[in-house]
Amino acid sequence: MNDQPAIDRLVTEWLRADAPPRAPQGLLAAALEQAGATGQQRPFGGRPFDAWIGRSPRLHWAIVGAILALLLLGAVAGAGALLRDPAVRPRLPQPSGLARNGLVAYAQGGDIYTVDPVSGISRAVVIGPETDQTPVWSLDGTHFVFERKVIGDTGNGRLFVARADGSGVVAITAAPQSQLASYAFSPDGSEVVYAAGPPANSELWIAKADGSGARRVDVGMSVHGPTYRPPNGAEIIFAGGSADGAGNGIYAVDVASGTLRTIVKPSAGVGLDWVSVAPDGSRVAYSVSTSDPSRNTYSVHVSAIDGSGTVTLPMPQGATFQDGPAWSNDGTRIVVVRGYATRNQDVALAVLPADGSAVGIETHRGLTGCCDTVSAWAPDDTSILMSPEDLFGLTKPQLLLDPLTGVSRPTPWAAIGDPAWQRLAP
Amino acid sequence: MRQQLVERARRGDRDAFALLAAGEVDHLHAVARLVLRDPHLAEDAVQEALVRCWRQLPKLRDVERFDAWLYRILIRAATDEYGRRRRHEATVQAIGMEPSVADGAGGLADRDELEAGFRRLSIDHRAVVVLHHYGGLPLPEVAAALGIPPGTAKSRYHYAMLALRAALEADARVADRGEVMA
Repeated sequence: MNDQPAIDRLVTEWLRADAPPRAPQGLLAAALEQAGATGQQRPFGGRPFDAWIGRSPRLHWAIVGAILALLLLGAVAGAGALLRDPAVRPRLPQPSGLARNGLVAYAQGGDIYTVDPVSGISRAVVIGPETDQTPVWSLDGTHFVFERKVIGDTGNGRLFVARADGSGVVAITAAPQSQLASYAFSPDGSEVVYAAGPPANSELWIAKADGSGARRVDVGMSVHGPTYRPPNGAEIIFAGGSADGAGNGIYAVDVASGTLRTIVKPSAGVGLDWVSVAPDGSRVAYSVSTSDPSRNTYSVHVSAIDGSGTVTLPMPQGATFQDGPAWSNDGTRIVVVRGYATRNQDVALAVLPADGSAVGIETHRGLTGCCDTVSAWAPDDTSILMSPEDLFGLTKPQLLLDPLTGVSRPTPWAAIGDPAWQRLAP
Repeated sequence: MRQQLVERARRGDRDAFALLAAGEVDHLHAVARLVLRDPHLAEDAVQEALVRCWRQLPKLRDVERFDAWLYRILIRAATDEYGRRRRHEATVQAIGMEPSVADGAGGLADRDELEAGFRRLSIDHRAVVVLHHYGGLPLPEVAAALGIPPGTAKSRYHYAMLALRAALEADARVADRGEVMA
């Protein structure tokens, strides 16, 4: 009787029979009483000036607004003239390699903020009633792309691009799509690649960053973690195959022709995912796992971009798995999540040489609850920004790590979510 | 109607929140009881969850995701309550329980073993099983409700079901041995 469907039925029946039909009398009243004694939290992104503006005479603000508009027009005209002069045009960083640290972008309460990582001073740059989330910088640091979930449109979202200061917001996808993921700018900033749809059938899309259109690239499989291959973005690298990662391969598709090539062939029972391409585009790091429900089996491999010369990044004695690779901007090191238990109970981050010559240095354990911990190197490689999880799988505030010592510290800002660090010209 | 209540409560309407909470409390309590296996902890968790819900509602931007959001708050509250309980666990265990014996009524024995196996699971594993089997959520929605990746929900579920299966099989082995000895 202990075949799986029978157990499924048994568990369902047992839980249903065991569930109390009614909450005890008085529980609701007690909860409401306690709730009534507490205030509600301010919504994130609330506009602190609203009340102040509301008390001010409307005519007064109309006049002030007109004066400000005139001044702004003058300033824009002057700035435009200056920017047309190549001598004063701002320098932009190369799309890969080391750069200077700029602002960190993050989403909070449905709005997008940027923060100066030195001073910790943050500023709301895209605010509104919609839920905006997960900003990702362009590689020249001039724009960011983010997902906007529109109220009334369950679960679906559209991608928008804004300038670094939050101005010039433009929709780059025409209609809301489900489960938008892994969006990334092309090296020249003209396009954004992304995956959309349920994991079993996640499609590869490319949208023009100016909002002039989006197209689907049919690669004949479910696509996970697409990203442009540096330095020119002529190819998009992704893990493709089944929904759960088992039997995935790693592929490259030529953006212009749609021609597909295999980097790492799929093998039965082996999952390949979390693809990270080296800054010079010559190598790819990825996570390999086998199906074992009793323990995590992830290991991080590094292959040449044609799939040859594969190296498995080493683990110290006692470590049980490694996952979630991210390349340093100079292409010499990789940060990974490293576990010391069967599951996620004892997890650290480790920084290893990308050639697999050493086990590297690591943070204290328990830093994160694994395994979808996203890490991003600062553009100048002096620190790593990470988004830890607790053991419950809930995301905790971002942390900064020293890649030389493994010491972690809280960020001067309070942000939860995937790290996104603006690149500036050195 | 319910969505309007969420919207109104989000804007600070206490009457709307009272109506909303009245519609949710039985289900929340059932889920908390099933996860925590303790009536007092479950009541505390539900009360805490409703208070947190009221306080944090203004942060909920997408009212369509209210259900998933509320589940997450409840499970977090349940986890907190469970953490407090663990400090008293030794005392509870010291009282002791009679080992379950084969009673000839297969259903009852299965229930005992399921109960024992389920209690050995962590709260996050229990939550996945309860939301899936009792709440009726597919695993991707369980993942969304708990704020964990779908793969994590899947692996927690498989681990939990393996553990429950092992508990049932152990019981079956004990019963078989009993029959041989008799």
